[in-house]
Amino acid sequence: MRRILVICLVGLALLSVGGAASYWTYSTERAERIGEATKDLRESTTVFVQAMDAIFEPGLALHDSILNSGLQHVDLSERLDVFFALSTGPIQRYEQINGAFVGFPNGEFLHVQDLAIHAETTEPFENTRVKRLLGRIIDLPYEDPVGLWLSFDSTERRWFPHQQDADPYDPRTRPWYIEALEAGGPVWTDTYIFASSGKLGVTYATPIYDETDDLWGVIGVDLSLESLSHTLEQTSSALVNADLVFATDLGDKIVGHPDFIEFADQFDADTTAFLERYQHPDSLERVLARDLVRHDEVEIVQVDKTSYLAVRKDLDPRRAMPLHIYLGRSLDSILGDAVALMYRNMALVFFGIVGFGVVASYAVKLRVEVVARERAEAELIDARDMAEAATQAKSTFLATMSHEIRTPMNGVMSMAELLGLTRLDGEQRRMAGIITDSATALLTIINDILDFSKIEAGKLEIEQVEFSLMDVVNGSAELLAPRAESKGLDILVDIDPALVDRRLGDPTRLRQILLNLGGNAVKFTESGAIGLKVTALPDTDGLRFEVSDTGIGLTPEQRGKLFQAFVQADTSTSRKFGGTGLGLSICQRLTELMGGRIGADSVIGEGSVFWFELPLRAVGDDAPAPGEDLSPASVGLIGFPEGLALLAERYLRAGGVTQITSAPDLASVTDRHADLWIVACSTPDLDHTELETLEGAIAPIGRRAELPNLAPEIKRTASVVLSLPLARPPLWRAVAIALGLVPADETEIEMREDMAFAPPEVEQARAAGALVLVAEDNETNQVVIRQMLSKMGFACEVAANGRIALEQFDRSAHGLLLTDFNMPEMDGFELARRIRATESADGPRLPIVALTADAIAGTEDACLAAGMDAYLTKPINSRKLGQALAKYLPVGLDLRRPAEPASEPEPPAAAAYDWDPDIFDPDTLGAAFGGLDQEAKDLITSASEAWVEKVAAINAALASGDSKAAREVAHALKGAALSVGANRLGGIASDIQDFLDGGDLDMAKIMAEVLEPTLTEFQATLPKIMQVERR
Amino acid sequence: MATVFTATENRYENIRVLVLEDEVHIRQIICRLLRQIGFRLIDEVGNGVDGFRELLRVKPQLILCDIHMEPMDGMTFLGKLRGLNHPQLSSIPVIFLTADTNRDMVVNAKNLRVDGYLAKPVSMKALKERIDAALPH
Repeated sequence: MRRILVICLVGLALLSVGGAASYWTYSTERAERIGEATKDLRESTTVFVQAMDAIFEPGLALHDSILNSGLQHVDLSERLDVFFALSTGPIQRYEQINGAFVGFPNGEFLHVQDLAIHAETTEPFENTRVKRLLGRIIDLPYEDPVGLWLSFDSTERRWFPHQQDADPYDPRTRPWYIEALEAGGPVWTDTYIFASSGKLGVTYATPIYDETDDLWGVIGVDLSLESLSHTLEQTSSALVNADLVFATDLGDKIVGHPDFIEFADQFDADTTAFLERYQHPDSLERVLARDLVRHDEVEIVQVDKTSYLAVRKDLDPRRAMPLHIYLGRSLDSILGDAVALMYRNMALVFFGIVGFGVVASYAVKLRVEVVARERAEAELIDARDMAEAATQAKSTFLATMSHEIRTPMNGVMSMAELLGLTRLDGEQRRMAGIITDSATALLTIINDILDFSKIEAGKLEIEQVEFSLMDVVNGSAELLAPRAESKGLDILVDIDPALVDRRLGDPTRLRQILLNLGGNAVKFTESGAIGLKVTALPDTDGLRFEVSDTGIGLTPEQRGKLFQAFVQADTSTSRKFGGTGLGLSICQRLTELMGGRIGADSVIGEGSVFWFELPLRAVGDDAPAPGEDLSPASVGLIGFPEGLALLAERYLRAGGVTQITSAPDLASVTDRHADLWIVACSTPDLDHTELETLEGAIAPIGRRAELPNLAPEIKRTASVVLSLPLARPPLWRAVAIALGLVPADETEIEMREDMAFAPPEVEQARAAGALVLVAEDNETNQVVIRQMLSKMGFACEVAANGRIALEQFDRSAHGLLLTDFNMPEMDGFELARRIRATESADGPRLPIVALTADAIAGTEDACLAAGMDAYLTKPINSRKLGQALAKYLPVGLDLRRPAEPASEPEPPAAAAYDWDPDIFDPDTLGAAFGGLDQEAKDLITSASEAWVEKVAAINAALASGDSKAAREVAHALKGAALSVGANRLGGIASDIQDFLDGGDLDMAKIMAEVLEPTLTEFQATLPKIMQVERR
Repeated sequence: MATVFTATENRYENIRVLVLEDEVHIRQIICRLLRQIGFRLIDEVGNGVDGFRELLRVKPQLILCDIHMEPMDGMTFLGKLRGLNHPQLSSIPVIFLTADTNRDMVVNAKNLRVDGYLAKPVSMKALKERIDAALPH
């Protein structure tokens, strides 16, 4: 608050200062603007003068030509001829020349326009000059010249006489005649209304004397002033800088005004009426004209509280009628916004000063505590807003990053695994193992981050599907077992047998939480056991899950921080145990999303129990039970640790078994009769001879890692082998086998040992119907799958999408279909459906195994719904692929050929390629193919052919502004090019993708421009690549 | 003939350098000097326009650039480079090689964050010094 006040005060102070400063600026600006306007007005007057001169020029020219035609020097009759000839042309040509005339001292008058013949003459008409002149032009039927008028018909080009009863006209009484004689030279009359037309006009008149200085007559030219207003209007609208324009004669009578144009339209050009409006002594124009006494001086004149910047310009009487032209602009229009600005600034000064005082006094009144509190609040709000924005940005970034990292990680893991399958020495094998382990660990972290960011970004959705509680919990335990066992830890899965197994919820997320908590338990426990316990929550459909360990435990303080993101119980923890610190935070958010809660109880040094409770509605109300009646069975447990013994007993009872005995070792078994003996591998005195003394079926039970080490004799005596962690179904199954109710298990095929194979010829596999059809659009994955299949001894054909796969599909040749989910043109689901549609119920059925990068919830159902048999997740695990091959394509096992012993690895040659490794890095494919063999070269060639289209597609999409399409193709090109080793091309495609993701279409276009030359460069290098010897 | 720079470890070997120089003989000399220093990844062009295209394509880690070239001179090229919305590319060290040591030119180049300024003719010693100073350590 204090800060706000200070800002107010400073602001108000600045306002005042700013206002004052801008007033000063205004003064300067005012002077500048007036100076500029003055200059403008001055320049404008010149233009007006030119325009005025142009009006009078024809009239004066006519006048001059009459004067200079030598009228005095020629014969009288000729004089008139000349005058007549000179006058008619211009009169017809120029509107403003209203007529030319001559008045004679004897009272005769000749007006060329409307010819008027005066009758005052004492001479008979026959003898008049006019009669003599006109008689040559036309036939005059009249004897009486009074009121005789002649009209010129311009179309007939003839004069027509007619007589009017007009007042007799005596030129000798007219002002022009008198004034001209008085002046003895040229004279402009005052303006007046023409008798003939009623128009406003002026006469320019000059007396003419003959050789003897006797007056011959007075000539005059009538000039209409109608066009004067027109010209003023046009000129002033062309010159924007004048908003007041008018012309007066020397008597300050207004003779031209732009308003007249408008007026003329309205009132049929009653000039007199119009002009009278402006003749009032107080009219703006008259006042201005009165005040502007000096010619050509720009002055400020005030009229009615309005100030004008104005100038008077006098026309030169030799070139035009002697007029005053007035131009003016109001100061308001000159200063315009500057004045408004000045007023506003004055207001700001006022407001600033007043406001400053008010706020300052208020500020003083405020108590310090209030200020402090409000500041703290503001800071909190700031911090919260910043944190939220940061979280959102971080999550979005992480989601993008994680996805981007996963893609290359697939390549790393697959290649590392393939590397492990090649012939390696011990050291190399160890390094390959580290790569695989590290990559797996990295992928786990990335998945964590991805999940976390999805949750943070609110993009994670929780499913509600039916699932088996046992499958999820036991499955999680199975996954945790290898790590636990490698640390010597057992995992005890204790699901209350009374619980209904079918539940509604999100099994994927449940598994994730269990794996996360279980993983932590394993990580932080050095000895003892991990417990996974599921019990019912009283009175609800909810379940409580507990993951217990005998690890380092937690202090109450550490427990408080457990579920915060990125926080581990102890910063030293991450050094010792690794991990992102995101796991528990993810678990907490997941449980919250599922409507549950999570917590931890712990005693430092003794271990911890992490628990969570979820509402997982039961489907039906039956607890799981064995398919067979196990009640007659008697079961003996030997060598079980106490916890495990109790658990096994409980599980057996749940299956209906009632007769259960338990012994710590073989020696202490009393009754040697039982239907089934379950013997722990850890039994101290385990010995096959001792075992053989027992009557009944034998089932050894142990950790997965222990079982292969079991003595062959024991294995032989065993009817079934059970692995830990203990789960009900296999336990019950063992009992059922012992009772002879179900047949014993088939032996599991150990594919790992069966990896050193070479595939049969494709044709051989085709003939045997053992060819694997692979539908996969990603080129990297195509290579990986082909390699894996080869190593396992299976031949395959690869199709780039579902449509091609469907075309290639040949029921007699193909024994298995491996198909990607998402492919262009036709996806894996559609492909499976199409193939199933061609199959009859009792005919042969093609096994279909799906491959997917995202093992999301519901994948399995979707697969089954589409008629698929199983699915594998990417990165493809070769063991699982092997199992799928053995299960679905057993006929292929027989076609496997032993791998040729690899030649001794050559020492790595120095880079001897004579091209830029950025254009093509031979090591990329070399790693997968063990050098650039023909297959690798074919792949390069066909890949580069496909790129031509992709480059064109990117350019086309960018040209049409389709960023989305461009991004997709760029992404595909990037993946394809990088996996082949065309790093430069792939890098450019990657740039394009990045720029499009960043919304920078321009940069994407710039980058796209270099795609083509880079592809050309690659193609030019191709011949060299093809010549490389396999190494 | 043994050269001075046949050290066991060649720190320049994997550094990609782009040379912009319109005079073909000078370009050959510069490239030769670069190889002597130890560079193996050298791309060369004759003007700023080609240089800009190659820059996007090959993404060098170092640029040696003449100033007077047509079309697009070195100063314009540097300006465009520094203005690129591509952090990796826009920050590439650039060394000007020019006969023009006009002060304004040097100031302009500095304003465009040039990483080195070398007057022609260029000696290998001076070139190496400027390159060492310009490359990230």
